[in-house]
Amino acid sequence: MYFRLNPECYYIKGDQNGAIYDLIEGDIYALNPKESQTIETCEDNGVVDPKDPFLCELKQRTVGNFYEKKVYIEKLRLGSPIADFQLDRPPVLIRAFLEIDNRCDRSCWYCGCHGVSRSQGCFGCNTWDEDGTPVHAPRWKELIDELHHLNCMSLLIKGGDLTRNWGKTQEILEYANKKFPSIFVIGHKQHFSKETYEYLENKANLILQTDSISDIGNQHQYLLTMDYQKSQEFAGNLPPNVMVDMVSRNFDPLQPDSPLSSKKKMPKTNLERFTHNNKLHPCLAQSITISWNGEVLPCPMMRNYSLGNINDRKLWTFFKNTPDSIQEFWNISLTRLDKCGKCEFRYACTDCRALETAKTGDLKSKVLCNYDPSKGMWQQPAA
Amino acid sequence: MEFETKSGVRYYYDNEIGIAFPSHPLMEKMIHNIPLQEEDLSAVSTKEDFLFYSRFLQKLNKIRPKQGVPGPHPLQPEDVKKMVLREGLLQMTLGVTEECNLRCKYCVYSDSYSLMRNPSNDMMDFPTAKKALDWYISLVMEGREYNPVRKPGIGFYGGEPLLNFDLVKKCIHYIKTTYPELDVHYSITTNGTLLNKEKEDFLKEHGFSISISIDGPKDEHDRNRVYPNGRGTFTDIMKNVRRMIAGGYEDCKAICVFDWKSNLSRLDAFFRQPDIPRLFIMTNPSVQGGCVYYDQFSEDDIRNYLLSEEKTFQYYLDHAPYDTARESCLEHLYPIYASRFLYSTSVMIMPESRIIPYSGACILGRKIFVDVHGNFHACERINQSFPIGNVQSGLDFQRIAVMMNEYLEHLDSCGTCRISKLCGYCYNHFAQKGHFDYASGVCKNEENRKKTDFSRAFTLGERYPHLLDMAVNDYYTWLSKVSPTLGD
Repeated sequence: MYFRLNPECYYIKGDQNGAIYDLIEGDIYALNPKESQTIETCEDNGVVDPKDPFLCELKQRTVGNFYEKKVYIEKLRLGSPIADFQLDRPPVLIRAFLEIDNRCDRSCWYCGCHGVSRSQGCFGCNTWDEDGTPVHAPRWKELIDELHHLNCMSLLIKGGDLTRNWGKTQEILEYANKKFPSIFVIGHKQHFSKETYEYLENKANLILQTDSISDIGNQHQYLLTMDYQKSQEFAGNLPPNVMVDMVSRNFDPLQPDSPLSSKKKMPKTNLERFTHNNKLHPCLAQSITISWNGEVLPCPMMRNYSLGNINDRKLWTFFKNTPDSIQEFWNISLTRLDKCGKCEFRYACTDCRALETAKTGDLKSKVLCNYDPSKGMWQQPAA
Repeated sequence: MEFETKSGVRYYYDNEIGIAFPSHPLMEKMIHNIPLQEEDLSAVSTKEDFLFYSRFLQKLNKIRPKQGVPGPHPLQPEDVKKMVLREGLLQMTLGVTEECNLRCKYCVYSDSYSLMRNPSNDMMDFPTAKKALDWYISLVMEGREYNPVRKPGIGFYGGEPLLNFDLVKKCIHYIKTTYPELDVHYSITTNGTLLNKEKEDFLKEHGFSISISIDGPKDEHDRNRVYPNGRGTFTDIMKNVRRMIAGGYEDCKAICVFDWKSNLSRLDAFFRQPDIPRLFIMTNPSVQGGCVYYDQFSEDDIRNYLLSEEKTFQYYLDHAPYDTARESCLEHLYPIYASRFLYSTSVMIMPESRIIPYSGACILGRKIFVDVHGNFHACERINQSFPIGNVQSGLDFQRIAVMMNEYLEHLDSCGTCRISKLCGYCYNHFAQKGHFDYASGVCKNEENRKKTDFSRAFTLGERYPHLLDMAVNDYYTWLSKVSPTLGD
């Protein structure tokens, strides 16, 4: 008898263990070494025992099935493996962060200018202690055209305080609305008045930043900022329109069950995410940031990794097949990181290069993870 | 669509999702919503089997496209231009001459193809070539904002392009002096008879990718590839080719055409020799509209070929020789062909909606073929009653939109086709003189052909689970470096 995984179920091998990804249900099954070996035998069309309890359980979960003869399992894929070989396919750009202002009168304790790290700071507003000349509205409009030509799918317009120069913000937003159906405006909840909310309706989706739970409403998306230590103890149930942004100087100490580094950081898998993570970074890929002073960055929080300035060059030049192009960051798939490359969860896991580089200064480091693929074990919480 | 492999395993191909999977008559009844009877349930071994089939199908329904394949909508010229600037312009091929020093019997420019032009003495002049190059390069430059990573490709074609070698040299010189910053991929398709040392050195100096037509050992090759007086060309070609290979010319590859009289085993042995160029493509003489080439073959010819081919497949199945350094005929016929049709752009769930929802047709402007008179065409294979521009006014996006809309309107039977996601047909297959045939009149027996293709591919996969993936990775990794259009 033979056993094969279903087309939608992939076996991924790690250093010690393996994992089965069910790309339709989203589940990831962590396997011990014996189970991993069994699956490897199965996938090579090796003979198995039809009464093997492990395999019988997989069949019950509709992950695989027994067959009397050898079968061929064509794997479920997104797109075409052959088209992927074409070297000069246009880059896919899903989102662009446009940081159109760097000023703010608030002095939030978690602002980027204080040198803290934020787990979701990219979706929040920040000011930065940086020099440079602000990009003016005409150049922002040109950039919007350039992003449109590159088939960018969504814009995220952020600051500072976007209402400080509200005329400029409106001018840019009105222009962007002609080209982009998906626009997000990011700011502190206290920045926006009733009039600005009314203005923004039907023009953009809002992401409102706050560190007060009482500010959270039903409309709009919220970024709830809280101290990292406090977030460990926070047990509140948050509605689906709220993202939690943990803030710390260095995220020490990392608790074994920290959402940054434990199993909790692993989302469900699916076909799109699995395919994407195969070759690309789970977060940096297909994203670009243009800062208030024109620096092109892989992420709003990676201020030390500028590729150049948009005031000197056209946007498309940052996508050329050269070592200093944005794709060099996009291509940092987890497979290319030493620790992650040996991990069976590398196609499901999240990763924040901004936090990693803030902590270690190394673009290829991985310290925010409590799993040891060489032992196949998660660090356990203290008893 | 159901099919079976040689070992008797039954599979079902789901065209909406784009995969085939092991099946069972009970599962197929569930798929087709046929009410189950008592005897159906007793046909499965266990209740667990029944539950498995039921749950597996429910899983697939979660990813099934909700509205089916979106229907085509009329394309506008401005949309076409954006698509071309973004996804097209992969190669401009200059047909530098209509003259040829050979009279190959299956040539699309021979009497066997009534809709195509015949050989003539016409040569492209430099002003025409220059204008074509300027148009192409200006579009590529404009297109950088849409596709920053595209590397322009310029090909040379004929007739026999080496008969107008002076023009080839002038074109390269013009590009290098006028556009020195451009990194261009150069290619040429030649019959190989005129490749002397001077030409070889020039082509090598400029990094040309050379495709040479070689149909196998001498008797196979000389059956069809002949001079006007009927003399075979094998000896002359192989003298040139062996010199080039011995001299270290790396990017030299072979195109092999085979038909009902070809001996596949002998072709395979021939292309495994180290002094023969690596096999780029194996293909049959074109079957486009107006073709009478195949009328010469008798039913016995076809029957004998099929019997022999079945034995060849069995041989491959039992031995599966896969030389990752150089694939020969059997790899092309079996794992590479299988991977092409299984993994082509038509299959699998596509991440975005497709402009051309059916068939394997490209967006016109993906390639541009320029004839000697300076007219632009979609490629060198389509008959010349479908121009898409010229060297005076460039690419005609209005005309392209009209052509693509007309083409889409003629795909009348594709919506109900059970293998539409696997279709490799393109404009060429439907093209008549200035108009397209309807798909319902052209597509005959395709399902049966695909069943055979599936059966072969899955039979191979059952025996060698990783062979098809290996074929894709090895062959296409090499192909992506030598052909901007992946051999299209």
